[in-house]
Amino acid sequence: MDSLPSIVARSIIISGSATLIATAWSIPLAYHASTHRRLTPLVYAFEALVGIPTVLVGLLLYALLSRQGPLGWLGLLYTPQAIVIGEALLITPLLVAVSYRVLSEKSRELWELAATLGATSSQAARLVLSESLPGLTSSVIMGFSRAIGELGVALIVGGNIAGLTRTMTTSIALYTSMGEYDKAITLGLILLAITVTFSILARAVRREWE
Amino acid sequence: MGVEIKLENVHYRYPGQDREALQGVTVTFKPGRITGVMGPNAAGKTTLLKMAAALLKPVKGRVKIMGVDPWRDGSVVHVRRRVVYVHEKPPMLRGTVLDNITLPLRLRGMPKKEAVRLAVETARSLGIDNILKERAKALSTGQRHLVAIARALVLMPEALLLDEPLANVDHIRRPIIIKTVKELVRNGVTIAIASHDTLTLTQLASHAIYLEEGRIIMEGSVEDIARGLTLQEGLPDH
Amino acid sequence: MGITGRKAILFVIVSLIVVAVILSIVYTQLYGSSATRLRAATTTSLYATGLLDYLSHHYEASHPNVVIDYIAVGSGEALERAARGDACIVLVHAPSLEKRYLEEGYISNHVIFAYNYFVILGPKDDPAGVRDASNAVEAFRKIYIAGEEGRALFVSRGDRSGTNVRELMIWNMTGLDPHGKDWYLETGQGMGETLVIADEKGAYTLSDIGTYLKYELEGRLHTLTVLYTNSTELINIYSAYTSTRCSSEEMGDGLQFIEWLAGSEAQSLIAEYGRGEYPHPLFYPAAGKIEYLQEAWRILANG
Repeated sequence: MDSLPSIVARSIIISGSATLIATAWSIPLAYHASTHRRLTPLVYAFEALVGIPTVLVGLLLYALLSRQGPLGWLGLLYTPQAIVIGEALLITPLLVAVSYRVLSEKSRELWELAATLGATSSQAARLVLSESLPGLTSSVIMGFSRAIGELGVALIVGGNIAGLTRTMTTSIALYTSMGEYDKAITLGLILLAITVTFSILARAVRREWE
Repeated sequence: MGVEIKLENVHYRYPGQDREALQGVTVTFKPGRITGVMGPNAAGKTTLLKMAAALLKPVKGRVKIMGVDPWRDGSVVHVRRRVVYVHEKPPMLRGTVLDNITLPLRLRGMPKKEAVRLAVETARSLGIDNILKERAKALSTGQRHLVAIARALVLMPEALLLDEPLANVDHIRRPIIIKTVKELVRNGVTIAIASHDTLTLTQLASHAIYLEEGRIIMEGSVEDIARGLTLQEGLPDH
Repeated sequence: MGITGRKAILFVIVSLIVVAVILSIVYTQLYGSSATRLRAATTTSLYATGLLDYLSHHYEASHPNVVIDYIAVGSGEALERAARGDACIVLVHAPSLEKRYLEEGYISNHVIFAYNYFVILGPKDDPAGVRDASNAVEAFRKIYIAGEEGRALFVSRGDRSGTNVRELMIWNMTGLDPHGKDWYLETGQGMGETLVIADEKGAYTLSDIGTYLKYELEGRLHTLTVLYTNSTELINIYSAYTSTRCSSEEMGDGLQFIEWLAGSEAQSLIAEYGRGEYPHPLFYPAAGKIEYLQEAWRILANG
């Protein structure tokens, strides 16, 4: 059936891909918002959505991807890709809100400094970005932790299919319902170890970069 | 060397605020002279310096640096390379002190080796060559001021605008900053120093203006202004 | 922002997307296979006992081109997912719900493949006197009375699962409504969690025998014991259907699988399942009792 290592690896790959995709659109969006004042309301909207329930995202995406739904023809329901999309959407508000805070704080702090040291506007932009890297990395790690620890999306659009869409959280739910608490707790501890490791790693990288 | 910076009846309002930070200020910073900018907190001192450094564009009035208005003929970036503003709380960038000091030179495309040589030389003159390898963000306030001044000096600016350069700087580093500033003036650099502390300015500036609520209310020697202030305090209603 | 900044951002976006695409390709290479996947929505109780994995393991050995993906949810949700075409076959045990979906034309090709019994469980000291009941309806009445007198609790799944549907049917037959009573607790969770909660609280509950035996064997239950069971009244019938919204190629695989379920190979596998591990069989094969089971199903479906 589905071995523990393959479940762990699958979770990391799925949530990692989701994080990368969410990063690809969230950070440019946050940067854009930090340099264009009229986009601030958009950031407020994302801030409000940071705590969006994972089951709600899962349910909405299920309605979209279901064979009866508008995107049913894509055949994405119950595939790892569906979880990737759902988790990417789930963590986008978090990534945008945190990145925006980092970028706008850095640009407020550094734009004048760069200007007075004779930087052109593109040099100043690059300086702001490079100084924001540690903070942006933290936001990406936060996003990954939320993605890998969520259950609603993976369960509803993934379906917890052995060997295909079974992730750590859906396994924990399944093992719990099967009464196999030992396995559920083992997986829970592995999950915890992964998120803790990543946040320690992020802190280390941050320190190194400061 | 040295550039003349002329502000003619300048006004400024920060976005989202009702009150103007500057309400019609006219002043000239001359080469080879230290001009003090005095006044209580929130009087507009920082705004004035930033405007003189072509970082803020006046909403009304005119800035003339060496006789030209940088906002009119698009020479802002060019002008900024000759006039450097040093923050009251200078932001440090990630990396070492050396990275911070070489940054403006690298922005200008100077080869790394030459930039490092110049940076080390400048750091030595300010007595901070011993901390070049340290992480800039971990420095004390006093050290930050010196690094920020070094970061400005490597550009060999023709005008240097210092915002509270001695605030929170200890008595060991104060004389280094004072000596450096005096040397620059001797070489003809234009210098303006903003401070709410009269004592600091008496050591440095000969000429000063006194701002209150975005307006100049006194102008003259630092001693005259100090005397004026004592007189004012004696009056029941100024 | 200048040209270089924009280029840098574009570069970052492109490279991140490239990485994600590569990852997903690697992923499909690693985990994808050429076999067609047949989606089966199923009730948690069937899946959690391990029966389905055991059956599909044997099925896939003789049908190497098909992989069966189980989506384990409650009976209500399983039927709904099949009705939407998101699963091609559905394995459930809630005749009254099944009947509705059959009549509305969402599912077809009804096959009864296994059965077992529901059991009424409760604390060993049995404060409501369920042991002395002569039928399930009387047992529930006794629990109601004891509940009202503050001597007993009842834990319900409350999730429209097959077990929950049957429990409500029995309440209905008593003419009493326990909803909203402070001794009537709805968990909204699977059978396993519900058993543990009933055990912790010293409460009564209705369970399928399979899940109970599994939990009992693993030593997770301390006070719960079987107080009442009956081979006719509390029969629990497992049926398989195909969704009418299956794609044509899935339909072929789906039909083949449910026919296999009713066939002799699967029926003897069901009979053997868990033997030696558990004191009682977890499931009984439907073979040989089809007519009896169909009649029982009809009675249950009409409530």
